[in-house]
Amino acid sequence: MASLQDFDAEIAKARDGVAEMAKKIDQSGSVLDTIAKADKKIGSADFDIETARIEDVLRQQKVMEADIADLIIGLEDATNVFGSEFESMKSFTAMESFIGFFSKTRAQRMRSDRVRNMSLAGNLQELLSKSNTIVGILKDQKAILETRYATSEESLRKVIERRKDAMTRLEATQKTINDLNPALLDIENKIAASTNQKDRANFEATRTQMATSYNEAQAQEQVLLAESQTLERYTAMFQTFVDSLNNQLAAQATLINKLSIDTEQRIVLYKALEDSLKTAAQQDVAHKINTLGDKVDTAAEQTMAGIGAAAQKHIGDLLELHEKGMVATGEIQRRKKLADDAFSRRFSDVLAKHNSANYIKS
Amino acid sequence: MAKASVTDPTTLYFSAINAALEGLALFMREERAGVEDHALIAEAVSGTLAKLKRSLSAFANRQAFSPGLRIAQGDSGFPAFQHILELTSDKAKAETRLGQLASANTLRAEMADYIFRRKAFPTDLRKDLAERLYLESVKGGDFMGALELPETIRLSTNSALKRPSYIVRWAAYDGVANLPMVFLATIEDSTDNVMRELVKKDGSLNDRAGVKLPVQGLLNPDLARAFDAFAEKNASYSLSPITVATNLDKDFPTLHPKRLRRIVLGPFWTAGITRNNQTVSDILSRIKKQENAWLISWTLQDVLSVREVEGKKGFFSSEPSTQEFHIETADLEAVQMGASAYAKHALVPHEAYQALYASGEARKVFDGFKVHIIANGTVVSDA
Repeated sequence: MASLQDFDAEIAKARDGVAEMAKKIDQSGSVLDTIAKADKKIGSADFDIETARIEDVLRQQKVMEADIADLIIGLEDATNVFGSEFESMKSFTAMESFIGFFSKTRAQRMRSDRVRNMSLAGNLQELLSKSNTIVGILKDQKAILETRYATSEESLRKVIERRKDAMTRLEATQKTINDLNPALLDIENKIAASTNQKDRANFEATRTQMATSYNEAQAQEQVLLAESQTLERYTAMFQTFVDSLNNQLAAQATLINKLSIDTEQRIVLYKALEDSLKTAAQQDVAHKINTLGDKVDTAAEQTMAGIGAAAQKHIGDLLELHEKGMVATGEIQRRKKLADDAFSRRFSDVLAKHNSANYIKS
Repeated sequence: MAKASVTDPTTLYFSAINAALEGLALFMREERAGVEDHALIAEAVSGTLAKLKRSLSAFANRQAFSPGLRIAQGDSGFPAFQHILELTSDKAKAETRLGQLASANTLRAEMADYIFRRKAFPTDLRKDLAERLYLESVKGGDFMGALELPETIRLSTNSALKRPSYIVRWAAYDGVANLPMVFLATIEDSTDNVMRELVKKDGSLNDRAGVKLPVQGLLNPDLARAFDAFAEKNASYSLSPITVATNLDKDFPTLHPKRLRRIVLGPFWTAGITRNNQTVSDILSRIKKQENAWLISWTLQDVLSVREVEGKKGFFSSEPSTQEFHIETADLEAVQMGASAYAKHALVPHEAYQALYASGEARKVFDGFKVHIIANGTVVSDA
């Protein structure tokens, strides 16, 4: 995991994972859309398959997010390699130390040549392109989630509507049953009390008719009850689905935020470090130029004093420059801290696992 | 009148910086008597200006699908270095990404379809279309990168020493100061191969060599690659021109830099966005037309070699010839900049200049600057 180049395979893996995930979310989402349409019949076989699928999606989502979080932490590790490169610039190499044993200035010169000839341009470009790719993947995923979230929420609302509708119909049916009940009793009493054959036959006919509608209503009640229950279960299941979409959206936002700020900070920081090392080498030279000025006449002496003042002022300017830079970096630092906090809250276990894995490796 | 609150700051920024770069290009295009080497400098700068303009319009297009523009508000006013890198990487990846997006016509048809069917605005499709159009424009475009590689634009000879003399230009976008810079170096070459091929016995230029300028890279093919690498490694704003010249002299024993000019473009100031001089910001913010509320400055830094210390060719050790560069000790700012001479220029729209002048700040703000005022498509220089 040492160099940036090794990341391509892992990025490709993450991309595949995201595509797979998008497909599954799409399936569940379209089932929800179907259910939301009132004229569709629903059966329990579908229900079981769907529950299993949503559970699978939820599990996979965790895995995928952890993978991407891991990728981001890995990228952080890899870019830290730059840091060690900078460290090496500040000190002497073995060869330079050896030379320094004989000639301090020669060793200095070797080191400043080394600093002068370093360039981070390629590495920075690589870093930016890698993290932009990851951000691209995350953003694509986020866009899919957002549309899915919008439609699923709408569908969920429709399912709830549909259940309400079923409930009203159920209540109406139950009212019919309740009304029919005393009427039936009444007519049976009338049959028992009646002595006239003709009346009796009439009452019997009405009773049969009533009994039929009573049975029908009862059957209807059963159907509606089942539908309402199924819809209730669906509502619960898709509520979980919509919640998880929402949760995923938040996770994506955290990841995108962290990665963009990390990248921004790294580019600014590394470029500034490279610059400050190179200018330090320049100042070594400037000191030597100052010490060269031994043949000075009186007129020039005054100017030399001026140069001294200028040099002082120049250092002041540099400090100010750094301060300005610091303000900019300070601002980035502040935003980075926020992003980091959010990241570690959400992905603490991934972080812990990553750290412990490194611990074993080293 | 146009109010700042009506449009968003990004649009205002782009319109102002575009106007500034256009003004600068106009200044360079026009003939200018009394300005040393104006034509040469104009030639060196105009390519970079054009590239910068293209980059800026690419940044503006990118906002349509991926918003978020960072501007170095301090002593720069130009977009952050990150955007320059981003554009380079977008360009490199454009082909693959375009393969993933649907074609423009399909997207347009889908958008129309979406509007009719859902009676809503197709935000995602529009983003895809914006990205597609951006990538198509970026794919073949020529933009300001972190470094614009060296190019030989003039060729003559030093007849006394029988050396060819080149004028080489290159440009860079500094990542720390966020400023674009153009370098212009006059270099004599004492490498055997070019001396033989390019210079006749009498010291004049050998026309039969048939060099067609400009040539990509340093004219000497043996050193061109190393020179490109040198340009990349020394393209920092924080390195003073004299350091760059000394490094050049040291790194190439047979190249003799006689003159190095660095044109630092910027800082650019505009009302409400850049944070520079408070007085200037106040005055600029009072200007009604936003496209006139800006000020761009540039600095020409110049390092000259006074003499060449001849190298020694000994049996055991030999030393290459080195240049002695002039340091203008009478001028503290020149010493501070690490240059033999310098000139600071500022370009202002007439309306802004009038506002500054009326407030009595013009003298103070433009102290040490050569001021050029742009009005009705011509540039007038203030004495």
